[in-house]
Amino acid sequence: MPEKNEALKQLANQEYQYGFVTDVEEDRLPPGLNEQVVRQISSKKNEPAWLLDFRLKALRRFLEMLEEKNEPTWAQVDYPSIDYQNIIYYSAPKTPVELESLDEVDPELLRTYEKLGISLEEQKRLSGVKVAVDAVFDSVSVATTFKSELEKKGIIFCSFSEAVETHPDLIREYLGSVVPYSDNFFACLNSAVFSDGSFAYIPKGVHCPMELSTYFRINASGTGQFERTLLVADEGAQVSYLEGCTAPMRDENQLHAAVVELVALQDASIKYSTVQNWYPGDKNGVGGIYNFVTKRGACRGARSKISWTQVETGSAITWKYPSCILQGDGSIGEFYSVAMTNNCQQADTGTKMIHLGKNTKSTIVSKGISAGRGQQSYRGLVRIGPKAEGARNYSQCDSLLLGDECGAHTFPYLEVKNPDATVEHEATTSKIGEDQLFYCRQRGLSEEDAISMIVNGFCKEVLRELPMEFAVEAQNLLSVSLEGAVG
Amino acid sequence: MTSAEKRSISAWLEASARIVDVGDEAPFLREARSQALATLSGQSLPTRRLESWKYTSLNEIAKIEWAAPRGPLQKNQELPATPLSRQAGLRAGLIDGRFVTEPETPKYQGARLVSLSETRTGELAPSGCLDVLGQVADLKRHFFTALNTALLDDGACLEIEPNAQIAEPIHLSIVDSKSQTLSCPRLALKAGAGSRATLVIEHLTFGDGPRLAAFVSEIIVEPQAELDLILVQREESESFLASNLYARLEQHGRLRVHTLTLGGRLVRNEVVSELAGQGAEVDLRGLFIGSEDRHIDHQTTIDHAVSHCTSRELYKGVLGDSSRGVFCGRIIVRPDAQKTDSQQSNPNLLLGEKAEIDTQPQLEIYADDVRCSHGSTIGRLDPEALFYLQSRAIGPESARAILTRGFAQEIVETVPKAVGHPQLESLIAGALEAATAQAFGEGP
Repeated sequence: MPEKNEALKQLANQEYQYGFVTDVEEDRLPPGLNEQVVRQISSKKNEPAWLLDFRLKALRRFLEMLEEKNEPTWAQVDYPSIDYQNIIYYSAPKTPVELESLDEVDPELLRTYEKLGISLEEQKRLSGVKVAVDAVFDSVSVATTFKSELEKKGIIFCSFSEAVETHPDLIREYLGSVVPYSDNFFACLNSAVFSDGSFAYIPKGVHCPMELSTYFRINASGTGQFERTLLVADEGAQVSYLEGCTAPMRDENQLHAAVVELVALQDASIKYSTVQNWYPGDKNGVGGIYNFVTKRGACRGARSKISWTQVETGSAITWKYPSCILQGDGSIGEFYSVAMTNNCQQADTGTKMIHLGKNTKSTIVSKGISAGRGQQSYRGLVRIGPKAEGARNYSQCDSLLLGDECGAHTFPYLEVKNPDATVEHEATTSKIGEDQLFYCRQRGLSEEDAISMIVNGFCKEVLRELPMEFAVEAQNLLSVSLEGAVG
Repeated sequence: MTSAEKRSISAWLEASARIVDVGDEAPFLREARSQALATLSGQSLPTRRLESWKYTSLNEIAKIEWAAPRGPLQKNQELPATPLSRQAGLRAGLIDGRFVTEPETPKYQGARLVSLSETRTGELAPSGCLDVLGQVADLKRHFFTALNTALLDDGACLEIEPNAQIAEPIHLSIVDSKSQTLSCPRLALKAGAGSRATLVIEHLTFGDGPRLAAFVSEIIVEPQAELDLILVQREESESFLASNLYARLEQHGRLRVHTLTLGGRLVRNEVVSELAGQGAEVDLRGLFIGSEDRHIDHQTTIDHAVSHCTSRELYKGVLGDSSRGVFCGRIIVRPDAQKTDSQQSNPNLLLGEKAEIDTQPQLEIYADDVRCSHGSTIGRLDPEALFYLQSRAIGPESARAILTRGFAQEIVETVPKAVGHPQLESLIAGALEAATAQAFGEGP
């Protein structure tokens, strides 16, 4: 089928839309990782001594792991070894950090966001649904909107460094309580050198009136981005948090090692949505982002709920397992994921559901789409502890293959130590059905539209979990990637 | 490494070096042995740090000082008779790794089951399966295969002649009789083109004391051949068994393996099947029943190397008391293996309060025109089914027993009738009774 191959080629030739570099004056440290760098980052941010201690402990552990060559190799991804001494660990635009309104933001930055299609102005104007955006440009949070409105409700939503100054008690209590500094190789690196991120605290009984949102963007070359997000929902609180990522086009691979910690206390509910479209590298696999992220939520209280939704279309390598620790009785964990790999992209992603409390429930729905020479793996753990009476899990992992050079893999781990638990796992792998395509074409749809429709239908279960404005973006991202694609 | 483990391994390596020195046979065997010896030197028993041993600890084996298999070849040793072996036409046994046959083996049409040592030293006419030996097994990946090969001295050669149709099952009993001794039984099997046969392999132990067996079987299924393999593992509760089975299937070859794990202290099954010819079909079925604190580990690999092959896999676990089951089913579809059709399923019944199951159904797919699925479930008996039976005046205990038997029955159904379904069922019923005694004793 030459027509089909042509279309597949077009899919493979899809260029990265967000490849541009913003010229903003930057304040950066020389490359390298040592105690001095960590101390400098800490002092630039006027951090208290306990936080510096936390960083230094993490640094020592990381250097130990580096020496023991403990970099994880179990994931189904392949990349040349990273020289951790050749990375710039701090880079910030030289704009004043304290900003009252958007007008004070460097217009250059605003234009960047407009190109990204997330214009803060536009978002401000969005009627009905208000979105508060904490934009992270390289490593420093530059603008936080709707802050005063949130303050009225007692909600704290600010950059991580600001929170360290204004709410040190909260940070001290929760930082590292879900992802300890020594948790894994990349979380350890992040704990040592994290530069900024977002912090949100929803007080007791408050339902956050708007979606909280952060946009990450890696700009400067040769920098790694190490942001840290901490989200605490106190008893009975509810919040929905959106996270989106883009990076300009760069030839060398850039490292992104973030840590996200969520804490849900009794009856609280957190919904965390991600749309990730970092630069995936060109069609020969040159450049792109290494996205090595540790995301974990703890359902500490009874009946609490954490829901992860992710649409992963970017990054050269994705290594990401948003997890839920279901401690509270009757707590609920959810994971909805769409991952798309194209060209030479590799993704090893999935989740961990650790059931500790009684009657805990978890749902996993993972959809993988692999095209070009993309390699994609679902790796998930469901663990039912001995005391998790009545625990329930349902997992479904489906993969769709477009093209004969791509791969789709499934590595679920189910560990059940309680006979009262019910665990189900299902996975299927197939290509787009010829009969489905034929049917659609027979009804007058072009092959492209048919593919796009089938893929959207394939992902529907996940896309419908996204908040409205993200669902639109995610659908656009998927169809952009599929433009001209015929499977 | 414990000191006992060090002593065991050095005893094994010494014994292996002695065998390598003899040099009385085909050079490839000598070479395989020295390769295995080289692979082993400096190694310890696999630990849980290795991904494939993540859920199975060999600490208990490491604590015991094991002797190497030794002693002169004992001829005319008596072959144990079991309900299953009575169904068989052709019989032989590997007692402590030594080939034993009935005093007067009838001349059997179409199949030849002989001793590896006698056929390679020229006492018997050379067997056609000598060229299977060392060709299918993976020394590098599996410690116990390397161990078995390093100590390779005797074994069973089963050759099914091309186009032979053998209705009666062939029976091979594998017996460990010496306490605290490692035994290395080995089987080389060639199913000739177009042939059809059934082989029952029954693992037994005689006497008390801990046993360790590293059993390796290598199988080549030639074009259009059909082979049924039934492994019945029912050792005593102090026995450790590592059974590694390697099979290569050629065009339109068919292999069905039933693994029934009913006994043993710790049983590790490794089944590796390579679909190397188009149209080949493999069907792996397993039933494992755990009671007390037994540990049963199944690792399977189905490698779709070429296109148009089919694989089916169904492993069922029933775990009582504080027993632990592990299942890792890996399906690989290579880049050119288009039109692959593969299904895997692993339902488990957890009955004991402290029972545990760790399951990993894995798919690794590098081709696009495939149909692959896997599923795994873990749970207890369906309360609605129990209620239904009780509403029909069946007591709760019997209702549970009926449902558990029904769960296990599915595996037996596909075993060829000639093997002896009533005999198998009674063996399974015994194991189920042991596994469920505690769980079902309580009543609702």
